[in-house]
Amino acid sequence: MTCADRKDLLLLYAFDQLEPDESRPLVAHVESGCPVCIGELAAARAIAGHMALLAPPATPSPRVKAKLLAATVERGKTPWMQVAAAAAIAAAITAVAILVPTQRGVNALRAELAAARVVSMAGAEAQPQAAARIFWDEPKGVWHVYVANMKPTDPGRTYQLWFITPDQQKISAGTFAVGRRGVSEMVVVVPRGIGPIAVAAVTEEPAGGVPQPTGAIQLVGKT
Amino acid sequence: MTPASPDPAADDFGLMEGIAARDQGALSALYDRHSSAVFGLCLRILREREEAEEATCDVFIEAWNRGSRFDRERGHPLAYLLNLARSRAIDRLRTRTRRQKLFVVRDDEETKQTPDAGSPLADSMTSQMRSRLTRALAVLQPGQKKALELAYFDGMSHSEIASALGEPLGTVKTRIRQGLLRMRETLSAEYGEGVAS
Repeated sequence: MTCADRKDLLLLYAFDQLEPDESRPLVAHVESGCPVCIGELAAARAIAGHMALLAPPATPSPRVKAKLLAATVERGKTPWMQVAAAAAIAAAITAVAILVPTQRGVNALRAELAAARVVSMAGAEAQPQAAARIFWDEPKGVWHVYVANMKPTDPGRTYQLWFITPDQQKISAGTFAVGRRGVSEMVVVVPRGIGPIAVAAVTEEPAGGVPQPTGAIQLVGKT
Repeated sequence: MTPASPDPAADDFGLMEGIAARDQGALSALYDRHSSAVFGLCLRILREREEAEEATCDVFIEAWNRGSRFDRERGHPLAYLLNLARSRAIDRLRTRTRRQKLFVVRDDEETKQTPDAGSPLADSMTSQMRSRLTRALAVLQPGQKKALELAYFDGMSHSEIASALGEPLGTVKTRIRQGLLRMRETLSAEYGEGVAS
């Protein structure tokens, strides 16, 4: 069989329309490095790719991108002690952020996310598989937070998100829970006048939250 | 995509290089450019939004994990993503079908999706490709097009298509082969010298 003979077969192969005993020698030939057939297979796959475009485009929910980014984090841990770094902790600071569920227009949100500053949060020792992304809409003073792969808390416990300033003040950004699938998404209003935020962190705390962190850090990321 | 980009295809290759270098920003940009095409395909195959979203995420995770092995000689990144998407979605469909032990030819009405209206990240390159595909399919006979759609979107074999359409196996094989050759011929003419890959 010549490469010219294989051209039509490669087109059928790209559409999964060959039986295994037909495709086996064809694949072996391509994998042997034949430049003609490698090119023909690429062209056949391009035709298959065109067929895919019969399906109208559709917009996945923003949580798909959040999950993707969380799943592909190149993990570099920031230990809690580094974050704390011998700083004096201010006395009780009232939590001023508002935590609300996301119920927004998908396209509008996508546009906002595309323009936002992104903060990566990695899982700490307590749950290294966890990750989160914060899309920080600085002009509006809003964080869109997407959490993935977190363990649900025990009853009577909650997760609490913290703004941490360069001088180590810890300001509650609110509490949240994750479902069975370990994901959560929220919109957090950054309090006006808070000044620079150096770190975002999540701790596990008693239900209802606490004025200052007491539990183990679960997620942390430098802004 | 970036509207001002002079060469979207070249940008896609650059993004794949970024992914190979573990640049998550490149992955994010590739997702922004092509997730609507990938998700649209997964949704068309799976007809179930949540599962299509899972498949879409899997496609980009796989692109990330295998980025260093992407070979530009073997095709355009969009074709790579769409072929990966079809493969993953068909795998899920077959798993579901095995569970249900049921193969149903869906009515065209069921497969309709609401097109993505004006996503700010929509890729104009796919619009051009879609226009070329529409012209290429227009020259196919209805039977050829139907058989191709069942093969592509439902992952059916020749014999399954023959059974679903109540037609002889030989007829189905001929339709698919002739339909594909005709498509290739028309797309090659559209692109001048062979389908862009």
